Amino acid sequence: MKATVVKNTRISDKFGYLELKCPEIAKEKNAGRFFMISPHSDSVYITDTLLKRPFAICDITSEETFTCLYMITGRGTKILSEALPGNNFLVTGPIGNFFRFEKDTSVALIAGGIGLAPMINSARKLREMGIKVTLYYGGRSKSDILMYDFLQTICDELFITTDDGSLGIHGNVLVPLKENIQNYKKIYACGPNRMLQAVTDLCSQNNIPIDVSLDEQMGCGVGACLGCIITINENNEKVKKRCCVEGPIFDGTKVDWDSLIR
Amino acid sequence: MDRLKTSLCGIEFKNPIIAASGTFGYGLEFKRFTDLNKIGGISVKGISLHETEGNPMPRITETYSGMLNAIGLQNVGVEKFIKEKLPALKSIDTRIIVNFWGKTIDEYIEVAKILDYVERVDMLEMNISCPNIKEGGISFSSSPEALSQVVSACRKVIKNKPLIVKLSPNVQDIKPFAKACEDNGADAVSAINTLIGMAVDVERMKPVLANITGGLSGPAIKPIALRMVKEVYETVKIPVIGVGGIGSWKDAAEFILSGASAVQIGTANFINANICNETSDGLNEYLERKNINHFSEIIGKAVK
Ligand SMILES: Cc1cc2nc3c(=O)[nH]c(=O)nc-3n(C[C@H](O)[C@H](O)[C@H](O)COP(=O)(O)OP(=O)(O)OC[C@H]3O[C@@H](n4cnc5c(N)ncnc54)[C@H](O)[C@@H]3O)c2cc1C
Ligand SMILES: Cc1cc2nc3c(=O)[nH]c(=O)nc-3n(C[C@H](O)[C@H](O)[C@H](O)COP(=O)(O)O)c2cc1C
Ligand code: FES
Repeated sequence: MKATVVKNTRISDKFGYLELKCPEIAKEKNAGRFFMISPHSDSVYITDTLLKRPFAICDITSEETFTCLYMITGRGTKILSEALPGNNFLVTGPIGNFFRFEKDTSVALIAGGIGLAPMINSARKLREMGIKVTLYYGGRSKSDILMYDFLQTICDELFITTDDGSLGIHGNVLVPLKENIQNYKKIYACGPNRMLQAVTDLCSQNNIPIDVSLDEQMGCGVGACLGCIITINENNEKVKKRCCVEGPIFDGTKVDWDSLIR
Repeated sequence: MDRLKTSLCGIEFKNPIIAASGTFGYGLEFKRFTDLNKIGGISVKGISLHETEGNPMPRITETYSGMLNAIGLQNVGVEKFIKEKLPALKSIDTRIIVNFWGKTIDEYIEVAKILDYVERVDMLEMNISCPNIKEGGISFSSSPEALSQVVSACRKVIKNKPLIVKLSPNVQDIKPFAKACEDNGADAVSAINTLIGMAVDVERMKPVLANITGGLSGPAIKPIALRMVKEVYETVKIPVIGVGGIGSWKDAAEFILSGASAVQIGTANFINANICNETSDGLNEYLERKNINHFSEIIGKAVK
């Protein structure tokens, strides 16, 4: 399956987003799922960057198009950041489970860094369901906070935090979240593992359920290679789950954080 | 004209393209993304007597034109495999090869005995070369003598199915190992499994993989695999199944020309879920263009 680049918008030297044409992925109705993309134009197999990279379905822009928010961290994302309109990439998707929002519940979305990506689609979905959209979004500093103006249009309530205080509240997302946690029936979070663990701890202390979207290395993205295992505590047993097909979203209180933070 | 239909150890295959063990799960994981009925065969994830947890994470990492894996042979165990995974394979029309392994000769024998009587299983493939488990795999491929022991022990209990032995490339000379398989009753050999490698995370200043080392696969290993297939082809009379870095019909043709009677595709399934079928289509076109009636006419042609 191929996706064609419609537009590549650079936000800064580190971030940007691709608008991709691929009806099979754009028709996805749920929020939180992802897709895999080969970081090289056309379908030549013999290449330097071999494996497909996982990316969240960020925003659905039409019946045929969706966006992929990227942070340049290595070779593959660097190649994707230089994609030109008309380039074709091999993709697989949509993959994975999704956030199960329930009508008439007050919820909060939590995003750390590039963990913002699945939250854009989630915000849209919540609004569509008539649920108030509250987003807590944290980054290291001002330059890590992406699409501030756009976020204000899709959220009802937006809490921005930066570690250095250069934008919004000084500190991490826990600072404002602590104040309001009792107002929510459920929390949905995506971001660095340490942040997710801290948010999970806060939720546990307050008896509030939390779903976290996890980031793990992936080989196949279809459940075949067993390279993406997440350890889950279930009935006092450690159970191995595949992040790609049984995740990427898990009950935060059941995640074995020690095996993830290394 | 059916240029690709073939018989391997007496089993009919639609085409000589097989999905390699460990890269195609238990067979159905790719169902959404490719037509499984078109694939010649599927070698399922290595099965052992008992359910196996596998290694700690991280288990995989990309390297230049390849990847390292240290899955540690995680699998559901033979009993669950037969009860929970195999029945679903009845719905697809392709050959099922069950890759199996043990930590001791007795474990190999036990698994082989059980699988030998399972109807949906067409062939057995013995993995003696998985480099990941310290106590297991590697020792059976440490010498032709050790290999002979385990192959002959399994041969004695496998009465109903053809037996393939999958060779390890992590040896100085692969030829005596291939010979040991043939002499002890193997019906075919597949070559090669992954090459042991390593990668280091310079930020953490630690090996990337929790297991420290892992098996290298993908395009990076193709030249080595081809050379070994040629060597094995020149050493034994039983069929050789070529594996290692195949990602296009051209790669598959190179293996056939070097002596392979069939090929397996592993890592490339991760990049293109439809690669097995694209490879058979491409081979067919190639043979047509070359005016060759059947691919068997060119097995080993480049090395004769
Ligand atoms: C479910 C899921 C959704 C994701 N969504 C997004 C997103 O929307 N936007 C975004 O920018 N990033 C996202 N990521 C992370 C993204 O996949 C990695 O940043 C990317 O794979 C790095 O590739 P690279 O070639 O630039 O890095 P390299 O370090 O060169 O990559 C080498 C190998 O490691 C893998 N790898 C490296 N870092 C990660 C990582 N953090 N997670 C998983 N694999 C990694 C690569 O896929 C590749 O196989 C997501 C990850 C997951 C698991
Ligand atoms: C993730 C992964 C898991 C594997 N698991 C097994 C296995 O269980 N048994 C086995 O015999 N080979 C296993 N292999 C080896 C492959 O079947 C194949 O021999 C090897 O990867 C070389 O082929 P390739 O370059 O086409 O991938 C595995 C390979 C990979 C990448
Ligand atoms: S990425 Fe292969 S099983 Fe999840």
